Amino acid sequence: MTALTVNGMAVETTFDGPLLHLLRGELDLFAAKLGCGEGNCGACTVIVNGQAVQSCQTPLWDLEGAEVRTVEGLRADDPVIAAFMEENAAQCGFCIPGILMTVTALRDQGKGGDLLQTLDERHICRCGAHMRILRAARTVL
Amino acid sequence: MTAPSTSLKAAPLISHWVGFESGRVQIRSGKVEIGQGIGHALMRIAAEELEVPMEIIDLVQGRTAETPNELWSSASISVEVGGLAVRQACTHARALALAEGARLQNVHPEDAGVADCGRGTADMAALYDAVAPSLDLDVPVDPALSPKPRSDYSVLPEKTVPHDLRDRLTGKPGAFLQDFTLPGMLHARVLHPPCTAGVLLQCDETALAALPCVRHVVRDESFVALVAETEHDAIRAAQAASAHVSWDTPDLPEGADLPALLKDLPAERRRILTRGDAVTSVDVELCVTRPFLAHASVGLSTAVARPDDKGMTVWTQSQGVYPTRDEIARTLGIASEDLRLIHVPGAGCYGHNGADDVALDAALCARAVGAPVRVSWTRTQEMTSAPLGSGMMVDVGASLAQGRITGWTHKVRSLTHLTRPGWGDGINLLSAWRLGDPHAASDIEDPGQVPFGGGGDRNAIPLYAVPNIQVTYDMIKAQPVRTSALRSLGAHANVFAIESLMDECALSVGADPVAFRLAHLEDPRARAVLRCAADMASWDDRSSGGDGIGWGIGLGRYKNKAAYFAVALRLEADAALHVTNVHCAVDCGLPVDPDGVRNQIEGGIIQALSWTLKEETVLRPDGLSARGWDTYSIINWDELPSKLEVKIMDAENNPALGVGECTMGPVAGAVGNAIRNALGVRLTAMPLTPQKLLEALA
Ligand code: FES
Ligand code: FES
Repeated sequence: MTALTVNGMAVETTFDGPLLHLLRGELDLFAAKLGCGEGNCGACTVIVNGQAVQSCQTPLWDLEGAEVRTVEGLRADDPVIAAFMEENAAQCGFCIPGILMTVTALRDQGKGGDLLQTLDERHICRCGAHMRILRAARTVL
Repeated sequence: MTAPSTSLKAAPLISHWVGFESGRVQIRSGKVEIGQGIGHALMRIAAEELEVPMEIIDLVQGRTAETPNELWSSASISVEVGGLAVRQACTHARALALAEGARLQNVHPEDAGVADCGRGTADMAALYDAVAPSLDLDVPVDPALSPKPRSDYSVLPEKTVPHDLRDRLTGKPGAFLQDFTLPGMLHARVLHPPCTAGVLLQCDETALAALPCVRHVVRDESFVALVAETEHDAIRAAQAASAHVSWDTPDLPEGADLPALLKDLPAERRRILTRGDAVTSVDVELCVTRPFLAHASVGLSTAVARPDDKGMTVWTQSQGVYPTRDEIARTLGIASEDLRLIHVPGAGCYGHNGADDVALDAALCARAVGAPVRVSWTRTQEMTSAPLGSGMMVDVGASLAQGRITGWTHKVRSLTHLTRPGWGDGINLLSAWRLGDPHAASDIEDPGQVPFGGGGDRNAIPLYAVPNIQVTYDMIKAQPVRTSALRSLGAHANVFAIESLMDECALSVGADPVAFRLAHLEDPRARAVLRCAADMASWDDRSSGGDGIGWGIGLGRYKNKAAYFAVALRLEADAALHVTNVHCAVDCGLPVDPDGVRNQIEGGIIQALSWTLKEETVLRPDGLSARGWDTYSIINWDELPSKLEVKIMDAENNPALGVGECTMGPVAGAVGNAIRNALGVRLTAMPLTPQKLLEALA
């Protein structure tokens, strides 16, 4: 049994797989996406205890007492979402929820300067929406 | 008058496209959203033509039996053809509504537009609502009615937020097919051999069924799927399954030497164009190659199928719901009418990927277990089972006299670029070949669409005026690996070859590359985009190159009949090859959604840079080299240009053209030309890597 909070709600679960599948499979939170399950694309990124992590690589046993945040936990008028809407910063948009969480974590930590490096290490956008994503991200960092 | 959209042939009535009900407007289209923004473009067309706010439009796309059969959303014709059909249907619907409004109010039809019906969007919405009960839309669309001229557009600002963007960004359930769920839905993974030609040698079904997370094993000869309660269980089951199955997989041919591989495979020669005198000798020649490329969408190919009393419903990300429906129905042995396909957007799609295959996989699983099933492929399957963009080889040569090109030869050699479902008489779905009662794939046959180029010959004919020219296409019918349509098909390699040769010709006569092209260009729209891109880059003031910094130019008109695109880019060559500045101009006729056009062009440029500089998957006897993101590099964030500037030409009196694929070839050409300018060497084998540059300099 693991007890954690997801977007401020208490969750107790016996599920022992990766966080991504708890979110999508048990909690019906679909913003985090499955792109590889191998830690290589960042589509599954969420925030755990203030840090952006790839949820496909985050086992539940490691999350006792953790605070998990997903895009669903952002306010509808959160400036990060507003900035991406304003810039139409997406093509298919599949990669974006993960990137939104990375940007949110950088903003909350005041680490805007790490944007490029963090994206480099963690996120793939196959559609080529990069220029817009960077523009949108920089307006809030 | 604009010619009628060819989509009107299969769906001639206004009511096939437009409806008015309960104060809302229904727009139906056979063109589907694959990440290219067509949904938003169609909404804009309808809003402007009907003069209603976008918020009251309900757009339905890609549902068999409900939306027009527009075959595939491909070849950059969704706006050109599908958008035109919606526009023509809306124009006619609006005229009929005004006439009916006049009749109901007893005013002369000519006054209807200025009487109570008014001109504002709210008024038009009220008009449609008022006339809906008595308005007969079961009449053929009359394409002779002129759509509104651009100058009369009044409803929309130039930039509008796509209607579904928020849902996609914020995880609304079902906004992506990968997130689509049904009550009682199970999850499955299909086991695939390491290469598509493999057959199942041995399968311990008892052991598979005994895996803790497996609910059902679905087996039909070489088709094996594991069905589980949750996606997590399905993934775990598939991972554990490898111990209980073995495959007989034929060796792939060695593909490290791509020209050798392509020359070894027998080909059928097609004459694409022969004009003027035979070109017997050339002064400048190049042999360029393009490797096999993966689609590598970030999302996994996915489908959901639900059986019912009569047949089945399949939710799919297919580019062509009707052709794929028909092939799945034939595979299942049921009537097409008993199978419903409903399109739901997936992650970005850049051509014929695994979307259709997985739709059959889901149908087979759902039929076997009698319950709704969602199937996704794995990352490795995305890279090794989906069709690839074919490796290509292009020999080009030119003869010159008095500073002009007198003769041109272009010989392209490639595997097919078209094995979609609906293409030919066979069944082009992977799992159909593996069943106990197997179905054969269609014969390989790229369409001969001279001069547009239906496959490997796409854009093989240069835009430039040359008196004597021979273009041939050696089409390889063998399929050592599965190949099919990937964004721009043959145009990526063909335009790379043409634009590389144009630069070499210009250099050999000491001419400026832009001036040399202009001297051989008659089409005013091609001249205009080229000039524009060069001006944006301050071409004439650029540095002379040779010191590791170079500028390159590239030009193309997609399919030689669609959007024009020219690009000038700056590249720095040191330990890496880095394109720093991109300036480009596009002429796509009337830009229906200008920000959508920019978005497509930006994305097309970045993907083209990625293909040209980094990507390849290599055939090796034991399989393809690319099996996941760790073995298939695409462009990274620190490799992006710092400046990327897109200019949309003022060409709004010309019909709207799609822009999804026009960038691929010209960008490749411009990169090669910039490297040549930077360091004086011509790289001809994509991907153009620093290592190849070092070898060339050595
Ligand atoms: S799904 Fe987690 S990194 Fe790709
Ligand atoms: S917008 Fe499609 S993957 Fe990024």
